[in-house]
Amino acid sequence: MLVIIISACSYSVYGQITDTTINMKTVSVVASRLNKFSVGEKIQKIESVDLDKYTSNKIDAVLEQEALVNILNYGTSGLSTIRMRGAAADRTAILWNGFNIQPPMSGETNLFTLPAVFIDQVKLHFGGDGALGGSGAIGGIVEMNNAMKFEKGLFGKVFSGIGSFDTYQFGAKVAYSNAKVASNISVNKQSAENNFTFKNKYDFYKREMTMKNSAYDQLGFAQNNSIKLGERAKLNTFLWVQNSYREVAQQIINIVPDNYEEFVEEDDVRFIAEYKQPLNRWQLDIANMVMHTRMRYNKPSILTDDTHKTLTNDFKVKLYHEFENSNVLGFFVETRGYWINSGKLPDANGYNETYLAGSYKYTTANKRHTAVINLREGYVRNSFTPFIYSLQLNTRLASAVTLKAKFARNYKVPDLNDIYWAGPGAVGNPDLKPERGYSGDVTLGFARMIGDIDVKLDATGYFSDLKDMIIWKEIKSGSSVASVWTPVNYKRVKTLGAELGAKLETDLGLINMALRVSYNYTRPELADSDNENNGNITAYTPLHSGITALDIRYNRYYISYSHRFVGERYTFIDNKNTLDAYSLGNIKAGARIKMLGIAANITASVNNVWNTDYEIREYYAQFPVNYRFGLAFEF
Amino acid sequence: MRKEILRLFTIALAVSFVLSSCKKDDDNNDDKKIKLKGFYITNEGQFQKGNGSISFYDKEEDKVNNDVFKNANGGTPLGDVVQSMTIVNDKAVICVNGSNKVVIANSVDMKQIAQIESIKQPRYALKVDDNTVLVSAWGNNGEVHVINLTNNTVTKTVKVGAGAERMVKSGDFVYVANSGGYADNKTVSVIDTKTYTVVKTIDTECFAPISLVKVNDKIAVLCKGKTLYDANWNPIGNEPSYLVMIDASSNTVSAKIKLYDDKHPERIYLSNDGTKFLIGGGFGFTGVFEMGVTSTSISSSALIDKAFYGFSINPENGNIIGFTNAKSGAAKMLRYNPNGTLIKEYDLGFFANNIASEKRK
Repeated sequence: MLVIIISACSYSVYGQITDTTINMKTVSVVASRLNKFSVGEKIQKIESVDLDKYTSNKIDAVLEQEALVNILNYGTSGLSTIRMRGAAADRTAILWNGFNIQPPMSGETNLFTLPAVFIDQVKLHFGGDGALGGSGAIGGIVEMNNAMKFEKGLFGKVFSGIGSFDTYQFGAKVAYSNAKVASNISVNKQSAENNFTFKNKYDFYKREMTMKNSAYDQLGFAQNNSIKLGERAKLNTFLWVQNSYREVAQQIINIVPDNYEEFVEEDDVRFIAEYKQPLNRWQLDIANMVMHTRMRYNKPSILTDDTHKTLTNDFKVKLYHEFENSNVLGFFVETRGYWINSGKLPDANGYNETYLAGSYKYTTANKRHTAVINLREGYVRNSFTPFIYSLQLNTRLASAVTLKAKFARNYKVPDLNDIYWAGPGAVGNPDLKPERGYSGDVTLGFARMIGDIDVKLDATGYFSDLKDMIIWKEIKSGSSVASVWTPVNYKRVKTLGAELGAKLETDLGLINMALRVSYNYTRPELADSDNENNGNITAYTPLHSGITALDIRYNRYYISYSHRFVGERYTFIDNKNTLDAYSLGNIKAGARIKMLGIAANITASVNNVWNTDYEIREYYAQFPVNYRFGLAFEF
Repeated sequence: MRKEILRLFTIALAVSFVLSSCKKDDDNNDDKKIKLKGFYITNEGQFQKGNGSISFYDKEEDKVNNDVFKNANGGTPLGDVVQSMTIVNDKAVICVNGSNKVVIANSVDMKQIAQIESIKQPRYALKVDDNTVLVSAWGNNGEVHVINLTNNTVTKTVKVGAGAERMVKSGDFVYVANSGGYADNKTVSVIDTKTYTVVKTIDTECFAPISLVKVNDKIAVLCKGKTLYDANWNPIGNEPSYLVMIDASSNTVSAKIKLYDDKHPERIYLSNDGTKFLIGGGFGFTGVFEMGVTSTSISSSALIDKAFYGFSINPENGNIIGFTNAKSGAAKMLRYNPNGTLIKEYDLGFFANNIASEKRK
């Protein structure tokens, strides 16, 4: 019913699809174990053709407008994280070319520091699968990939953008490829003052105010290579260097002095080298990622200026065997090493994790049914992680009807802050157990041409049961020293939900139109009979959310409109206070013009078209209606 | 629509409840003087959640009404870390520490009158006279601001020590406990209210002066002490807590009494009969302990063996009002008689810490 309401309320629509059958429009995305053995889960792909509309955005904006996931931020320049199926940010794995890039200290990747311009494809894997996604893959997995194109010759692109609130962008990309080598290099600079005005409904005088301390400045650099060393042998390297300075937006309930200062500086260097070697029917993949992160948090008013550095090395060996009947067997070894330099984690000098995993995919002779079993066991900080497995099934019930099912055991090892944090009044807990639980879902899909309309429908029901959730509590009240907050294995959360999706696409001559509608129901409840909040909904998860979108393409022009609905959300587990539901509309349009051998891409977007006053987290102002214009030249 | 009606009804009900809890003081000929039949409670709220609030304890109904400020002001929340409230005649001066503002409200119906936004991290207010209050603040490394209540403006700012906290008045002088805030401090600043200048900075020679009371011709200063940590933030020891007596006539330290080697109480009050101190409260400290005003040691047994985040003395009857430390939910107020016998418990907002009463000792 709500799907119908959302559709009816929209002037036009655009947006998300929960389709597992779209063919990639780019080529040679790095194949991962995740892709080979994910046959029974709901997956959404956001291809490069769609990402091109977000050249001036970060990944959080892409996901917010293209997918029905919950993006939470602390204001317009603040920490921006994802929640999938009600699971918190550090319970959603973030992968870049197959490697988990969640920072080891907090376990929460700030999506605001990931410019979309450096990514060619995003895939969302809904639901937990600890055997495939590893620690933290409880609510789902966000997979960001780079695509390497061969035989394209020399390609160059210079792009710039300007937008409301002193937003500026400048970047360039150069790519070259022949039959054996593909290489590209990109640079991107973005900044904004974010000094927008807003009517402060929490101010006693209801004044119009100007946002302070919300600027950001980002500079990034990427360099990727792919070299074919034989028929199937290949060497890939990916480098991503990103610097980010962002001021920390304040709650609008507070008076912010004119000279207020609070900021975060982040430097990230990520490098992946991957070698693929065929051995008859075997395929050997060896890959290594090095990730260095420096984060400085400065808040002079409380005499805080902390710098944290981490170095992560992640080494993987993957061995696949493809049988003549298309069945696939895989073995995997992974070892991750961490080195930490932080005044707040003085005892965390370094440690290793080692994982062994295996997968087997069985496909029936008529190719109608596929089943997968995935297994994983880890040894982390001198103890074994829970034995993790997942079972996935994909079966074609009829020519247009597909059934997918997944049952998975999931886990999350404690973040380094949970174990090693040391500060006045707060200490980590080295005795924490991994969080563990189960999840499962069933997706029924329908895909058929009905007349001239390509119709795709899907419906998913899911559950999750997560035990030993790690929560910080005060444990030493009344002791001889000051009270201490420390993390403990404490909560259990049970989640039930349903997801509905539809996509209708048709070609009317040169005009291509796609209408997409999705609806989510998510109910994560605290399940702890000893807790006064037992049965309550976890904070900041809307029970109801929906997105509906219309995408129209004509020759070299496109226009799209998306409309997103987010229902009421509780602000705390006591469920006494809610944030109002809101609807957001966004328009994007673009044209590609070719003159004198140079192609010009012109883009424009109007965000928050209806100037909705809304909150994602309580008391943090969001952008009013705002505009972006972009111009890119390709040669 | 239904929600709006319900909200308006709730606000009207709450405001009428507070108003019904107040009546004109029959013993006072001044018609403008309205006596509160109860006291207010400040609930700091959860840090950076913006849910600081004010509750009202209605002694005639023997119940607590929560969120009285928000309900009286059309749903406008008070802010982040509601540290304290001080009542001066018909005005309530509310220090909202995390929100960097001092709110002036009508002390009877809690309707906001004014808002001062130039004070960073305000902590406590102290009445100097009917038209003047001082507000201590942690901002700019410790300040005291002079506020004219006739026009609700800051008329002067006095630089004191870091972490300026509670204050007490003795004659023309105000004593300010400089707790250190985010750093260390051992001093008490003395401000002359005729000139609003610091006339002396007294070194107590003990860490974190945090709370003080006047007893006879002396100022009793509670120094909290502190926990010591090694480079890895492991607790390795303590600076003791002390009671320091300052002779108000000479502004010199006349006595320094060690309270605990390894415990750090944060509150000191004078009992209503003026014969003993009550000491306790704060994170990690259990119990309220008595100490005679001329004694050289604190009682070894607790009057109330309970951990309070904050506690206060009701100046009307000497009852002890304790606020339990909220660990996962809202706080509770525990009301005791002066002998430490529990009378009743009440539900409050998050991190309740202080009371505000018309009557002051």
